[in-house]
Amino acid sequence: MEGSFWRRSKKLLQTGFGILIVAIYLFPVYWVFATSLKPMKEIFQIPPTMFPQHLTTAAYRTVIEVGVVRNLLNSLKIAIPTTLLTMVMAISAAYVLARMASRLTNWLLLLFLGSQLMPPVLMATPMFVIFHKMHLTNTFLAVILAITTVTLPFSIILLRPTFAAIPAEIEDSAQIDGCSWLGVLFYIVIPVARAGIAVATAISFLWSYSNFVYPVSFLNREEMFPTTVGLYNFLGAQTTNWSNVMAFAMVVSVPAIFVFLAFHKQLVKGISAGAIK
Amino acid sequence: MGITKAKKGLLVLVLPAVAFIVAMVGYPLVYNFILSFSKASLFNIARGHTPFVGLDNYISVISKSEFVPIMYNTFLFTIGSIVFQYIFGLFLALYFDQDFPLSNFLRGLLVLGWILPPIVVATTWRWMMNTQSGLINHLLMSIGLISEPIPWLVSSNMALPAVILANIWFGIPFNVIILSAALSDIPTSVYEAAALDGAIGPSRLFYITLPLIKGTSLALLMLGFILGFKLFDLVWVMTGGGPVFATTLLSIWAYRFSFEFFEFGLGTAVTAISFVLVFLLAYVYVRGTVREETRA
Repeated sequence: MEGSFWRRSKKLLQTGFGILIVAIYLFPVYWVFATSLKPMKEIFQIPPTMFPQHLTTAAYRTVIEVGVVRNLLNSLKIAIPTTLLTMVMAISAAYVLARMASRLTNWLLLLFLGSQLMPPVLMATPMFVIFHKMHLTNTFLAVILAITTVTLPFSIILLRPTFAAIPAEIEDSAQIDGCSWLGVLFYIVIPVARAGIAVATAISFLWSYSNFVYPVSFLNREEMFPTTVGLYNFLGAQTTNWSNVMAFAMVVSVPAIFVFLAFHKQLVKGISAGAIK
Repeated sequence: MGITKAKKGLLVLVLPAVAFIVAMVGYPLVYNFILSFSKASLFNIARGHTPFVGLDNYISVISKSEFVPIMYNTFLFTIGSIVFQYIFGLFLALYFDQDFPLSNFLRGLLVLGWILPPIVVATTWRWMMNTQSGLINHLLMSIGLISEPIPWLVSSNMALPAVILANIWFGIPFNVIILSAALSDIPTSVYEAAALDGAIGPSRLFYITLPLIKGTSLALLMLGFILGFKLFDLVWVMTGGGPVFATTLLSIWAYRFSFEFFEFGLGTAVTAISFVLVFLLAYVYVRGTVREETRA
């Protein structure tokens, strides 16, 4: 009886300490939230207040007036097509790489792995020159194509083991029942692999949404800026009003937090799978 | 027979991805190298005339006085980040690997730090490291560690540590998740056998656990190094590379050459140098792991 009491208290202590660690780690996130709700005067108070003493949504009103909603729409106009484009190509390619093990597919895998070595900011220079020559600067298309180079290789590498884990018998029996291989892909493989596909989709969306380098390099019309560029410009313009900046940052974070809440269990599993392989 | 024929036809499915990568990554990469050997600034790019100048851009870049400090910054930033991301990541992974209520949930919460756009992370830390009103200085002063505010982002001494700190925070969840996965692959029977031999606590960590996650650890450190070289957003938004060149990394230097001074020849030369460094390291790593795997 004594043994289990100590064991239970030890576990509760471990949980308590665990909560403390996570709270400390995530404190900056709370701080953004708290600062966004404080009036300007309170932000600079010494000592800083843990909880806003004068709750105000003035910062959010300012941020909306400045056009953060348009930024959000632009971000979605970039992130959604990028994710779609990525997933269509990634599912096709990953399926082939999973089902056909040959020297060719090994080289292809190496190609996709190697293409991830390139820092996006490295690619921005030649891409800019190329897009400039094709008159594609200041288009969402340029940004979508550029960001896909970041999301596509990772998605392929992430999805390949997912497809490989599906027993070939399932596909074979479907084919014996008269299903074409395209049908097998759509009606059998994709539904069975939907967890892995969900993870790849979520990560692709997150990365497309969070991208800063490509939009800032290829777009210079304010009405096209996504939230990342919007925040950056806003930060530069507001020299001291940090509550406004934090409010903007919170709005920028909303889609990312939403995806996190919706997919967090799968995300955790997916990150480890993709990176190790 | 029908199945094998279909399999050959399957190759067509992989074409879009391959074509895309070759066109969108391969071509710009090659073009990058070509530009680095050419005289290319905004003026002659527009006119389409970019004469070949051999290694001039590289020589120009290497002989700039800021070249060595920037290389130093880049390596210090990258290595400093991954060392501490790994150590903290390992500590947290080991801690949450234990069996207590909410351990999985809490570990999952950490991921929140990783999914935030780097811009948001940079903005947050920039506010927290504000010299007068930032939270960090207030905390340090209130516990008596310092008596005066540290000019984190404005002093050429403290700026680099400041951005490294922000990057460590940002990178911890990724390390935690990967290492947790590796730790969960270790069967408890190994720990039990080790305990019978008296290996518990620190000796268990060093003699049992660490060797068993060596493969994953090396892959993680390697990835961290590559990601460090790739990083741009975080540092750019926190300091813009300043003060002066104190936090300028190779990636930032390349960006400034191309997009602030429109000296594409110089920008692509820095880019090429950075790429070669990363490629060399990746090559050494791959050769090393392949050799180990064939030996084992």
